[in-house]
Amino acid sequence: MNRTIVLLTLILAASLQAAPAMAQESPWRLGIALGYGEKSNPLILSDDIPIVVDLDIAYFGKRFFFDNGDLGLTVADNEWLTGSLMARVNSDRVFFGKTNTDFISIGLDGAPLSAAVEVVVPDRDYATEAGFEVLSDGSWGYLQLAAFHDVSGTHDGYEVDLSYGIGWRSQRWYFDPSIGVSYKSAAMNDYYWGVRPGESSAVLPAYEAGAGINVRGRLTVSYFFSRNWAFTLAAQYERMNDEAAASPIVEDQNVLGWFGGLQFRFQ
Amino acid sequence: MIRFLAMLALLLPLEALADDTADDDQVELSVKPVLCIVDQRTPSCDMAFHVTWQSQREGYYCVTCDLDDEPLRCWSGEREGELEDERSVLEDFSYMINEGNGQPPLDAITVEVVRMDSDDRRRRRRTRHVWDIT
Repeated sequence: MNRTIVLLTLILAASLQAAPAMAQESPWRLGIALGYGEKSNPLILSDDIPIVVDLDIAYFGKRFFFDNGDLGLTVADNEWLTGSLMARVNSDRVFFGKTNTDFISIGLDGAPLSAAVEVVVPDRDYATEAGFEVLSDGSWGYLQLAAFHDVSGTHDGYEVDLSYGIGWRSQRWYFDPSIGVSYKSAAMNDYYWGVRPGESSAVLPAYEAGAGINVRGRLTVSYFFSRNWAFTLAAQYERMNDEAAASPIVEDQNVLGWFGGLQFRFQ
Repeated sequence: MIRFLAMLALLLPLEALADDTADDDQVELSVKPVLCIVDQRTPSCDMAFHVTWQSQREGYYCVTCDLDDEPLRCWSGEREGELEDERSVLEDFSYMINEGNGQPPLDAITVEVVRMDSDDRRRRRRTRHVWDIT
């Protein structure tokens, strides 16, 4: 609650600062979407993640930028591409914050256990990651290549991500589909989706995950009532790599997300 | 209560009269569409705008656009009119209706141009956070 109040205060303060520069493009990009949506949780004994507010808080300076939690320092910007050094917090940890505990009395072999065993999804930490990002766009759409390595000593792994998208308009509608692939190193995959021997039990075997590639697709559809107001529907599908999906703490290889709501853009 | 109703009854005709006077001068302008989206693939808004107007009384009326020096069209002794205006725009602009050159606008409609593109391509980047879904 306090976090929401602080964020809303920041939005209002920033929008007041941004207002005089409306004729030009303000360095701020601020928006809020209120509605309802969910993101499925691939973990066992877990709840889906509800989404009722989607905040968009970004600042784009000449070199420095902040984009919804990502920090960037732009080192190259020309007709063809924009390159930036990046820092971010890996958000895969969010799934682990919505898990429950259960007691299971049937073993892995299907035989009843002498006593019920407590099953707890192991906890995982947020990781601070640093890397680079290259962006390119044109009438053909936009391309985003990014690579991040853990610098917090959390998983010591890395991720390479490639996204492509193209938007188009139709009267008051705007469609923005995109697709992407993400290579996750063995160290990163194993940290989040592996089960250490110390975490294993009669119903949760130890598991070591190798490297893998996630694929995803996303479609955002907006209907604009005015420059500031739009109704937005968004749907996202991600197929987790086989190594992660084979983990005993994962019950669904597919992660689905959707959101529908009214969006206000400060500008 | 009766005094209040009596006062209301006295005031109502005056109110109605005031409305009638306002209606006599009322000119309504209507434009379709009033919003256009531009992006990198379609960087300008190339479209035909349908402009209609109607007034409570006949008169001399001109429809103007703040992007042009001259009126788009004028009507004499009419109480309604319409026109089709084809143009290519990059920014917001307004249509206005007045009673001739130099007269203040009687009504105005602004066409909004919503930009989905930017000179700064970092604004199109996608974050990969779990909570970022739109």
